[in-house]
Amino acid sequence: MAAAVVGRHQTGVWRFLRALGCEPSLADDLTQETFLQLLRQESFVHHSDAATAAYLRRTARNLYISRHRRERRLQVGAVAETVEAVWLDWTSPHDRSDELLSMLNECLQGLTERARLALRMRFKDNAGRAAIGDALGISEHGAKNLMQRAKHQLRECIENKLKSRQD
Amino acid sequence: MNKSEPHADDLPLDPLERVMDGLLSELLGGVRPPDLSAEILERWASDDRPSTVRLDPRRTRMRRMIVAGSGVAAVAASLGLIAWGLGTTERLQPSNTSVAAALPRAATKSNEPLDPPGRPPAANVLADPSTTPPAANPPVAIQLDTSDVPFAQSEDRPGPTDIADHFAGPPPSSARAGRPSRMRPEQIVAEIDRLFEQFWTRKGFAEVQDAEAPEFVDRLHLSLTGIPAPSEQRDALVEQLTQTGPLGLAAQFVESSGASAHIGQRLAAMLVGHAAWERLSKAEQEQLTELVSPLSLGRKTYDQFLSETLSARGSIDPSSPQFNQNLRLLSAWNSSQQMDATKRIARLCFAQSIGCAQCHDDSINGGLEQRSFWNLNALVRNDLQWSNSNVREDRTTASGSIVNAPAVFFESLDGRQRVAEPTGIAAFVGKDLTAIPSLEQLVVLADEDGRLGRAAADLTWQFLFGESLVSTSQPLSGSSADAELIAVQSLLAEQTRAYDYHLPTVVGWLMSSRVYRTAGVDPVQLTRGPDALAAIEAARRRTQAWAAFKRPGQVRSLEKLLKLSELWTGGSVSGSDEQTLLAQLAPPTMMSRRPATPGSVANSSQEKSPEQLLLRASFPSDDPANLPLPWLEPIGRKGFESQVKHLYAWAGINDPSAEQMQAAERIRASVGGDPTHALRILHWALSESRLPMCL
Repeated sequence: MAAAVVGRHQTGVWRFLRALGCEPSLADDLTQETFLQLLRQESFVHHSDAATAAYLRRTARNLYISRHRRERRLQVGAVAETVEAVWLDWTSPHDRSDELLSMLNECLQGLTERARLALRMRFKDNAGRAAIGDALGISEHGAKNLMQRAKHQLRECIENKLKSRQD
Repeated sequence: MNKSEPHADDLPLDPLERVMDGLLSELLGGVRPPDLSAEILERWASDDRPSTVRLDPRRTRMRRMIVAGSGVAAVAASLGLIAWGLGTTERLQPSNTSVAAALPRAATKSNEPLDPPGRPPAANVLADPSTTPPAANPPVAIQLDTSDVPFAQSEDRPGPTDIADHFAGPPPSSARAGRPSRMRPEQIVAEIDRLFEQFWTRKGFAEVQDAEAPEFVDRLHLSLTGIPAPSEQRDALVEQLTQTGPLGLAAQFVESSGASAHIGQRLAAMLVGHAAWERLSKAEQEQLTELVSPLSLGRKTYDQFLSETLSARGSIDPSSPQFNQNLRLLSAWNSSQQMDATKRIARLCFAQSIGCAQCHDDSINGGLEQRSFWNLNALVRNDLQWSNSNVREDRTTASGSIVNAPAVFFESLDGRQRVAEPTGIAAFVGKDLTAIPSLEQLVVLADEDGRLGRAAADLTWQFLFGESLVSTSQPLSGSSADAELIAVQSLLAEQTRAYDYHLPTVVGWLMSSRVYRTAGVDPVQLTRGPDALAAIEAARRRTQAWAAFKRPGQVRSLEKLLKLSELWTGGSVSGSDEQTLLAQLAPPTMMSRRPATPGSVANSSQEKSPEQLLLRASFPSDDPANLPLPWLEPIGRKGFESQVKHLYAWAGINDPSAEQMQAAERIRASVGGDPTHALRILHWALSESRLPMCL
């Protein structure tokens, strides 16, 4: 049973932690901690996937905040709260992050080639804004704006898709 | 940095963009979620850590038994309590002629063994999802936890047996699961001192000196009895201080009925909340004072007291056979729709200020949502019901749950009518509940979550120092809470819980710490160089004004605050020498002070009234101590009156009187109609006197 719960929810927890801003290695660590906290609860019972996902998300968020506090870093509580709200909006009623990823892939096709290239350089090659600007013949600031517009477009596209599915 | 990882400085603040970035890095960057099942299950299999404590209603029943038993022995035990509570660390103090020398030194590394790790049964069961109902989520620390205290994991923490060496009559030994280990008192004091040293150093307080013995004697006497030591007794008390240490001396004061009454009155006002306290008749105030005076409380610990109070049933009518004096506190909160009760319970159980969230999501006080306020309110209204305003109805079942809970509605900011959910109090207890708990059970939940420790420690700190150690509204100042003060708070919260919420013990730690022992002169002023004497005099006045603002029962009108502003700047102020002396002797509040900005004076080129000049000099706009209040800007569009009301609400006055509103207008008039400056003055005044009005 424990293995089943871990198997069903670990991807969602890991993606949620990434959305909070965790680097992959930290997301790995906190995902493990999140499940261990759940497993250590004598009283925990799995009622539904949605309830368990919500509990795991809350635990992951708190672990993330605690980690930041221990490291005396910026307060992240408010941001984490909002990220969680967005994540919940986009993946509820139960964790459907796979579906979300698929939507994002579809939405990417609607971007201009330049925007796709900029995002690919950014997220695949880890290129800085200056390098992206050079490649596209625009300034660093222009590269930043281009990516922001592209992400905004993607966000709208996803929200439209989510809305149309609800309707 | 991982190849596919965005530059750290590019981590977007926009939450939507963060979510998007996470997804894009997976989709485009190939950073896929790993399969961690094997690692997780392997770690779980070898797990030996203790599990989180669960709600155990049996504990509450046990407390009732303890309370019932202690009632008979309360009077007999009270003197013993005082001698124990305040005299315990006495034996830690070596005899010496200086105050500082009579107090504990920095903690030294001990070779004593570690506490044996608690290993509860590892009965981790994941039940069949198809057959089991939803479970209460395990408590999760949202707020600061003990991991924020760098020494919480100290390897030289003594085991429980060491405590007995230092406390001949310790609090009832805690066999409760999940209690943190006790540190030795001198370790606690040393850590508080160390953290404050760090804080003062970082803030630029170069010279923090201990008070001379006569000043310390007066301060201690004042804290516990409300008056400074009589002059004819002072020499003898100083001599006694050097022999017994501060807590031995304190024990003597507390043994007097006058001190018990003084402590009881202050404690009662803090428990009731000063707004509600003001509404009570003198007779009601006296009854409450008697209820919570040390002589009446006996050995009752904070959690016992709260449980007993919140579970009280019966009548508040003394002539009724159902009379229950413990209802007096609840009755004092018995305002329309139980608003006061909700706020007080949030404060006393969860150390949380929730007044703002009554009207809107509160981004300042820990990000509390409006619905959280109303969920708690629904819970309170369901349980705290009165018939004919005299008798509290019993609405609990045998299992302690509430039955027939009526719905509570509230209007959210978008104008919609919403239903509060009394089980949705995760913001307070770290988990949503599956059944509506009784108010009494809230104490247990708060204990498990660790917040009760913080509430008890905060209450003790406020009793001695008149203000919060870490204000929940600290972001008002534009800066986050200071790490050292948070660490002190976490330490006190943890150890208060470890010592079973015995507040006299916490008082003992604090009185032994340097923050209580420091001289009343602002040390920053001492570093100013050639004009040191004038600086000392100015600092003395500042200290007087500061302390006077804090004194409960004295500061009740803005007019008075304005007069105290005059005192701050050296102007005349009416009042007896005794009042001035009382103010001077209050413990300093070093944690709140900020280095003043030299040369921050009024623009003398403009013609202004004397009062205006005085205020300008008191609150120069370029002084960082006068808070810029960035959060006031967005609400500024609603006008001066709205801003004033928000400030009052922040200070704990949710429904300011016409007189208080007029006082704000008068301040504005005195600064030439400048609303921003007027609000700064008001904020300063309210923040300096925040505690008495908030509680």
